[in-house]
Amino acid sequence: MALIALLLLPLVGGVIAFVVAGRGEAERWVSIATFALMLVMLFAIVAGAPDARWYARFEYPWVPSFGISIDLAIDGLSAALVGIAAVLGIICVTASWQEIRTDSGLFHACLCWTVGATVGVFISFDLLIFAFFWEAMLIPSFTLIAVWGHGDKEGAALKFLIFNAVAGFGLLAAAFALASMADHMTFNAFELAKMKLSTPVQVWMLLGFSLAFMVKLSVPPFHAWLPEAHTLAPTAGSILLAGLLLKTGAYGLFRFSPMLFPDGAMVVAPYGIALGAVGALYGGLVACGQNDAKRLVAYTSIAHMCIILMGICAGVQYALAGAAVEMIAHSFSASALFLLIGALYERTNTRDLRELGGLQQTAPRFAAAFSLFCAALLALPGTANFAGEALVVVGIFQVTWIFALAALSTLVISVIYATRLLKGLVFGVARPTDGTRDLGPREYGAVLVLAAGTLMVGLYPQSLIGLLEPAIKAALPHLP
Amino acid sequence: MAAMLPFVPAPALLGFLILALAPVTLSRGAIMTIGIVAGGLPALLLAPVVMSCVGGGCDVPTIVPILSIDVGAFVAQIAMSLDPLSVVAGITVALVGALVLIYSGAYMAAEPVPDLRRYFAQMNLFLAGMLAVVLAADALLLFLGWEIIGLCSFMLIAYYAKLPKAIAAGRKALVTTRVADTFLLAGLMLLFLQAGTTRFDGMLAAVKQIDAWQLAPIAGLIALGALGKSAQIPFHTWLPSAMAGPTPVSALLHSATMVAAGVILLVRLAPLFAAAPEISAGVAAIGIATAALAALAAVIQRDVKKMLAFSTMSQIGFMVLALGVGAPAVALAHFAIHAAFKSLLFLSAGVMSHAAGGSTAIAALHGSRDRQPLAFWSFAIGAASLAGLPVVTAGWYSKEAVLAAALTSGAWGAPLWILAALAAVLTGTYAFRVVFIAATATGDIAAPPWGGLATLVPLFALAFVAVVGGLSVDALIAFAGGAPHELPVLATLLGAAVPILGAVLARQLAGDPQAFAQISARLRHLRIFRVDTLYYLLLVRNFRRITKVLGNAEAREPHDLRKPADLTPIIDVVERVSDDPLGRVFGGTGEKPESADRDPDLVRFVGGDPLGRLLTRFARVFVRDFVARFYPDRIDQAWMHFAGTLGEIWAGARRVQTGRLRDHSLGIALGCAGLLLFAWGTSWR
Repeated sequence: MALIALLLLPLVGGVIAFVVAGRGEAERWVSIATFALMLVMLFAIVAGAPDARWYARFEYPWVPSFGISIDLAIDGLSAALVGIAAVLGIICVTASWQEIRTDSGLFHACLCWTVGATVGVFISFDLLIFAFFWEAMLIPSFTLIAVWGHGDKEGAALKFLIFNAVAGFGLLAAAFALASMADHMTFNAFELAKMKLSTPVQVWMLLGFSLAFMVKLSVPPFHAWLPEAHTLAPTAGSILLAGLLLKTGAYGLFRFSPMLFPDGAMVVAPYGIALGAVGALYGGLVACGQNDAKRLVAYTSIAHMCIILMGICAGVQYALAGAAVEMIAHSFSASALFLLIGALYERTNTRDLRELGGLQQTAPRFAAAFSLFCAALLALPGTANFAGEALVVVGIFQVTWIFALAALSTLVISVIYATRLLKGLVFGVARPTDGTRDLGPREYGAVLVLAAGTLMVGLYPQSLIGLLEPAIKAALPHLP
Repeated sequence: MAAMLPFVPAPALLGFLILALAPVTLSRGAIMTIGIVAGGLPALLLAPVVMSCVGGGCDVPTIVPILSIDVGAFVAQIAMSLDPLSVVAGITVALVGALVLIYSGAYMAAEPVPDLRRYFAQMNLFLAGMLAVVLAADALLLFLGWEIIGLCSFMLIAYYAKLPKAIAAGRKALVTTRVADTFLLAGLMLLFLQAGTTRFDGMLAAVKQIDAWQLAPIAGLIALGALGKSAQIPFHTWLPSAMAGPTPVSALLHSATMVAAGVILLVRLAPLFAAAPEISAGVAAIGIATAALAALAAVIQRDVKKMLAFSTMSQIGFMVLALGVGAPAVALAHFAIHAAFKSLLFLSAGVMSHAAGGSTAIAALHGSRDRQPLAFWSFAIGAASLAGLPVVTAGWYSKEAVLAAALTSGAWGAPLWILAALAAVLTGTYAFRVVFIAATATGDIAAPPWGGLATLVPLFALAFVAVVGGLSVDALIAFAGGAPHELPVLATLLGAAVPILGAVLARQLAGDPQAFAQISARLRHLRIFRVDTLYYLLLVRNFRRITKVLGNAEAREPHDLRKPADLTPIIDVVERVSDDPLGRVFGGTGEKPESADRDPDLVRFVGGDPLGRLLTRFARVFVRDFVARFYPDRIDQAWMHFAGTLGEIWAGARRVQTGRLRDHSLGIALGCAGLLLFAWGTSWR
């Protein structure tokens, strides 16, 4: 029951935020309260968890004749991602406190609904329900971009929607095919996992699933929606896209490909690693050439998602642990960078690295925060990003050294784009007309929360890995 | 005593946190106090540990675990080690760090308050990171410190953030060392996978079980990483540029500590290299090449800081040579002595150039003996120690130990010794040239150094070590587990004559500026000094081009969904690339000789370099024929083109929707007819 409540909470919170909008800052506080309540419930679930594979489970045969059930389950990985979702929700509200002044009720409703739908993705184990939430999260996030974005926001939102919705059909089609192959038609992933399918069938099913996951992960060549959506979205939209929506792709791959298609995954994995290696280099190189700070960070996201892809495909314990840690790490660092760049855009009305600069003279707190998260971006040891990337690379070294070297060379490229960001924002000469205000207490608080997460996971990865351990073990290929 | 170890870097870290994060405004005095106290405390905390060691308390290494990380089969431990290496290197770093921070109190006194705060915060973080490197007993902590000092180095080189040159120098340092760090990381990971632990003692114990063909790449990767941090050929180009930072930064980071981190790592992993003799030979070759060539480069420098930078490279080359011939204890001793006299040289040069109006040109130092006698004499002591004047200076003892280790290292001993001795002659030349120029009388009035005690204390302390420290060299080597190398008398005598010969040469050069100008003009034509330019032409420029082509840096507005993207910029980019100035030199297609060519000199010199020419040509072809095809994310454009096609189809299909009643009724009628036909057809079965 707790899981149903966890799922309904953001949906209800969104409705309330929509209804109460216009009375002072009510909708903002309602959203914050919703997310805070989610966190409390999550802690209650995790703290009171039995020492078993799943902390909590909810099963209800919904349409038994078609094998559709509501099957919710939560383990360490899901709990970590749901926790991130709630934290990022709060951060989104604080980040858009100044930025969003029109239709604020609808905005916060969309915020809550996006978070709610991603939570649904993270805890559903019935493929039809999973696919429902998978598509459902597109609608509020589409609205976020199309209504409150910048520039050609409708175009970017449309591109985002088309890419992801079309790819979602791959997931849906494969889910239907899979369900019909079972003895008694069922969409339940746990039931389907027991099925013995031949390897070629598994490969085709996996490719259907992967289409959806790859587009959401934005692995080149399926990344084209991401730079525009990230760049033109409002700050909160960028944070949700980078911090949550991309992670649903990684999560799906991590959870379902070894669970449903253990043999197919073994066949596809080498190609996945290769695709990830090429994509990581490509994303990094493109990022180096950007002048728009937000676009630069968007392309770095592509590179990091590709590293996660490599980690998942490598299928050894270090690499899987690394991929899981990198998911969380990237949520922190990319969100923080989008938050900071959004705050800067609010003040200066530009994101052009050639025009900005000199923050360390005009706004030292801004500069310190940027420096820290650029350090995370270049995977400085001690930040969560390093823990994730290093584990991934160690794992890949066990499988194939050539792609491990490719993954390592992205570390060099990451220094180049991270220092470019630093050079364009923190160093250099401040524009004479600039009266850039330093970070306000609300923004500084949000940044500190993300910084604490980055450093805690970075300096003591055990805190996270312990939580993720069962999910990592389950994702290891089961050798005959 | 060992339990104290984890607390040694703590004050510096705390100082950084207070200065960087505390959301309060601090006054100038408060910033300096926090910065200097936080920088000085590690030395005080380490002192009792060192005392306890002197009596033989740490012959057996004591490991202090701090934190364990557990990923299934993999247990990584963060730990510190109390052994001769960590004690010697730790106290050297802590002392030099403390003295340089005290000096900074004077040197940086006039800086604006926010900049001052940034400076001390970063210096404290650097010190904490460096202490982590030298005290670490495991690869994780070492790499943590290793990368932190790299990042701090970037920040501090780019301290004068309004100068584009400084930022460029900082990025150059960070990117170059990061390339090397990547090798190091790969090597450490492979070693970890073989040994199953991140602790160095476990790793070194596992060395015996590793096959030789696996050991050599591991050792090679680690050596490359260490040599990159230590600015050895071919990674050396970042160090001279790094002098764009303030002088105390150069004194601490780019002479005494950070660049020495590679040496520390190689000493720490000495048994690994002993097991991989071919890698050791390579290390020795790189060491002697750097020692000799950098000394040659130092002779012709016109800027005192650049000269000292090359001198650092050269001296670290000596240490690397000692490591390559299997004498880590000697390398450690030379590291400690070098740290003292090199920071002394930087600090006193800073005082002299401050008095010379802030110019760091060697020519501007004329008459420094009259203006700043104290600084001049400390510089002279440092230079004597650097040159290794026999018996009276510390540098002589440690350098003799390096030469002895080289001579007794086997078949290649004699040639190595000769080359090292030649490098030592050059060392004497460049060191004393500056001294002789600074000693020329100009009739200026003597003045006490500015900053009072804050400059005098570090100068005196370091000068003391640079002279008297020599007495401890043998003890130091024995303490670190090395054996004294017996030398023939002739070699000893020659070794003693070498610095004097260098000083004589320096006298000649300083007295005859025209001869010097001729020599330097001739030397500048040698290719060895142009690695930097080669990197620029081969790597940096092409990288920029690739990213520009890929990322379309001339940012246009994002694509309009409704119309297919404009393709002319692609052609534009290809045109620009084929205008490549290098194309002309290599008989390419370039038709515009002058307009595109911004650096004819650079081009001409690479033109004489067949290997460079080949690589450049390859890079050019690569960029023109391959990379340009990726123009601004071509994949994205293909998608957009696809969308445009769909749009056209849609526009065609839309014509059916006329809105006229009769067309719709026709549609309905046709549909009904079709359905009826379908029903009729199926009823047959």
